Amino acid sequence: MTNQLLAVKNLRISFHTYAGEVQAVRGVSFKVNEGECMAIVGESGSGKTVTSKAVLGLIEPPSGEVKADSSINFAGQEVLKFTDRQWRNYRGKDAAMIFQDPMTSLNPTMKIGRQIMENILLHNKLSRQEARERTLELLRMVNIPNPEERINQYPYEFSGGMRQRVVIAIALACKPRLMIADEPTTALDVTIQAQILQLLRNIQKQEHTAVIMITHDLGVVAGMADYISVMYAGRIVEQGTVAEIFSHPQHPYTSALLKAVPSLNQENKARLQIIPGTPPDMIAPPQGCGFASRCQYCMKVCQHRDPAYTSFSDTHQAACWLHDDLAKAAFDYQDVSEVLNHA
Amino acid sequence: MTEQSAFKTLTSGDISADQFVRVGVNEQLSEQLQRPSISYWQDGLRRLKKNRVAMLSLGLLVFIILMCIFAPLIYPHSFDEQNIAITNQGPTWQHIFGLDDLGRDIFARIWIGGRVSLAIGVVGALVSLLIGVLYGGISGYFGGLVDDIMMRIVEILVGIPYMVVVIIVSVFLGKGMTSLLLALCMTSWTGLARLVRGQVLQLKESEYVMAAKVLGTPSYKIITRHLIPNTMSLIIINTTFSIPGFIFSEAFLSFLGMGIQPPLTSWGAMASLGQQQMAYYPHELIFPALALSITMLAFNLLGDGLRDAFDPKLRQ
Amino acid sequence: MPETKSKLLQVEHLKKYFTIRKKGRLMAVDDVSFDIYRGETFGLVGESGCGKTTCGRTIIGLYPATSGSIRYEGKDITHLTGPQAHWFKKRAQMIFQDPYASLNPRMTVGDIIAEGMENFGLYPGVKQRQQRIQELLGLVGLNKEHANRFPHEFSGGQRQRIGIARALAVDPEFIICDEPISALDVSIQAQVVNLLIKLQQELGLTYLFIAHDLSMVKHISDRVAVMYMGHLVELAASEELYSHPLHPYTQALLSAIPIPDPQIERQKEVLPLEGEVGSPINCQPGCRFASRCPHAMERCHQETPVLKDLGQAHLVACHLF
Repeated sequence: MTNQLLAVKNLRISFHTYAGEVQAVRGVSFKVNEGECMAIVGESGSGKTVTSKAVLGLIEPPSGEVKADSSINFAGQEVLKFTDRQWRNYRGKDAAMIFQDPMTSLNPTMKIGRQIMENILLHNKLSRQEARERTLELLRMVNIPNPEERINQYPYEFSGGMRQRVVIAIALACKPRLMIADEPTTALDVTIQAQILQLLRNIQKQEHTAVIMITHDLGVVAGMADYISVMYAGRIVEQGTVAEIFSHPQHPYTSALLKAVPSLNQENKARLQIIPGTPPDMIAPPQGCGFASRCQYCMKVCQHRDPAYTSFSDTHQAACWLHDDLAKAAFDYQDVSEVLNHA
Repeated sequence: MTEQSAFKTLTSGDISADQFVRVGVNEQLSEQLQRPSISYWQDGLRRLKKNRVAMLSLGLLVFIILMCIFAPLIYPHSFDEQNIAITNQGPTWQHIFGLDDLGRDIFARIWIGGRVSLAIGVVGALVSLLIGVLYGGISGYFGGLVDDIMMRIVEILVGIPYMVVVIIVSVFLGKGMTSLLLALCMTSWTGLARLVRGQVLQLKESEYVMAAKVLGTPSYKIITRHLIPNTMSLIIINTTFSIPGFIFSEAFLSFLGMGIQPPLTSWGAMASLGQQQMAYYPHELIFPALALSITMLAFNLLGDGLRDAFDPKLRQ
Repeated sequence: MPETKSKLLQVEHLKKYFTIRKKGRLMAVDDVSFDIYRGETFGLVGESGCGKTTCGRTIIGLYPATSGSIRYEGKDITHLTGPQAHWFKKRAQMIFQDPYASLNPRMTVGDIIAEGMENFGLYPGVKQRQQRIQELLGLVGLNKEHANRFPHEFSGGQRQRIGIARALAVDPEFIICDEPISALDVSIQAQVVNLLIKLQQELGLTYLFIAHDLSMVKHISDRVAVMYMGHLVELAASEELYSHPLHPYTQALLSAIPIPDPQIERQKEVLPLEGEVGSPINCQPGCRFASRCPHAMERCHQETPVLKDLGQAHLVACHLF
């Protein structure tokens, strides 16, 4: 039996800009259990990064605002009510973040050994020697060759992939219970991406760390995630286990996303199934379903009423009007997969 | 299983069956832009207008400039009119800011001095803008050897203290506004030249400049269409910041007696005179000093506002 | 079939070195040869820093070639200047990688698209030009009202389509696509790729498609070349390359592509590729992949392998063959 580590409930986040209020996240709820990997998939502007930043309290007022009725519960504590001091303890120690760009997430003027040690010493009462030992251990853990030598080098002496390993080592420094990886491989090459994914997978198993993995590419999380939440226009449109999402997608967006990537055994130059149009501007979020304007199955109702979640199993839910009995009656089908696979 | 069906009935409810008609995708609609069209400059102005401090500074500057232009025309006392009987008199209704040690009206002199100070600030900034942008732009755009030589020249110029230049120029041209401007302009454009060069070097490698080259756009068009408009915001910000620098340099030189010569005056020259009487007649120092500080502060605050509004690096 | 088609672009022994102060020469493109046939899509893949982008930019004339020759329709265009350079620029265009950096933020979309037409004096007259701009916007799936907008008002995918419209404005026949989709979201990538394929079929374009995403390259290309640290290591028809990769690097590259299927992805074996791409500064002779290659032999460290045709136009540069 696994224990629940993180529960996000009705998270709503807005940014106040010169142009008006941008509703980046509009009521997101999900859970992450200890030692499990949850992937949040969505395109840029869908609110996935903002959601993960909120979990670490990185939404800065005055422009960013987490709405009052939102709740983020980490191991029984309500993090949104944390004091500054509690936040500092929590960040880095309980929850850590791996950013997308390893170029900018390391301090270029500090030796990488010191950057890792700093984090260890901040949260643990260790001597410098012990901290150094732990740093070496971490560097070994992320497969950096000659850690004794590397510890005294500066970030510019590392390649992109090696830098991302260092970033992971920093995140792991205090054995966090939750690790948030925001597009950790987007800036890397395919071969390096494969190495980093492998590394994250191993660490997650070894250290029993819960991981929230944020990506726009479903392929990246196929090998790693236990659960997947698909986000679109500031909402989760579908969530379920990896198998459920990949083999029985119940939302048109998820299914289109899966088909948008050409598989290697597909015929060349065949038209890829595309999702037409552009994601909505969250300054004026659409009424009704956020995906309606790009959905080929869009019905009248989708344009002005928000669909509720339909459950397919304990873990699998999707928010789409196609699951409504009236829609089934109107178009005569039993299961939505009949419709989705009939492009 | 029962749980599932319970969930399903939740969704329908009060919606009639005719709502379930397929509409499909409207490509035109899904490509529509929600926000009203707004150019870079309009957006910057909007940000600037929301910045109260910057707008207040702008208002203050406009007020000072208007006063400099019109106050001497309306005010009953001329700036060089002497009233020996009441020298060093404090502020009265007759003479709003009082009189100096030669019996001249300080209020009248403030605005005449302001004309000189502001003129030197604005003209100096514009001249150094012209030279700096051209020099930096050429150096950055052509790069290589040209750039190397031009930048070494700049470094040499930077190495010469401007006091020395001022003294040399005033030896040849005599003291006064022209030689002061000339000396200040000769040394002050280097900072902007470096800034523009750096910016151009960076923009030259940008993909839109490459695209323009691939499209066969001639050099002069690349410079006027792509490079200059994209450095413009930085140039304007920098110029706003350099105006108070010129005003202060003029004040400083006039204070030392190397700038504006009597009977003409400037805020620096007035402060220099006032300073001699400071212990007994502080108003002779306070008013020119206030005028100088308020103007410089306003220019700096406005510059800050412009930077917040227009600097691409600060606009998220 | 390629044999019957005419060669549009011939690249022979192209080298592009950059001089780096005090360090020596960065051999970005080192002795690369290939032909591109009229109407085909030629894919060029490799990891960042392998020289694929430099190769594209050298062909289009943004960088002067260090040595070697580039011929377009049989005409040597390696060192063109003046009106002849103009002749080539009218025929060859480029689509850039970063949709946020490749459009001048101070120009309206209409002006951006019109820039090329202006340079070549195409569609003179305000009305004609306006009409052509609207036509092009429609061609790439944007609305005609968008001509008066500024780039920052668009999303990444829309901007990339504006970039495509800009390239099409001079009616080119050859387009170099420099990683046109790598900065875009998955759902938008497919839009752009479909658009490129559609344009190719309608306008008879020839593409040099540069990318690091192998699955997309395979999808769009007729033939694919794999680059590693300035060298071409393998070149074959795309089906052939993906079904029978010969070079150890190509094999590793293919095995690293994540497969969007949890069962396969969890069982699949990623070929271990130790280390990372080395530095292309002052390279010694020898296969550049040797330090990471599981099959490396003594000979690989001493002698640079050359491209050999193993039949069916499948070329590979490896001492194993």
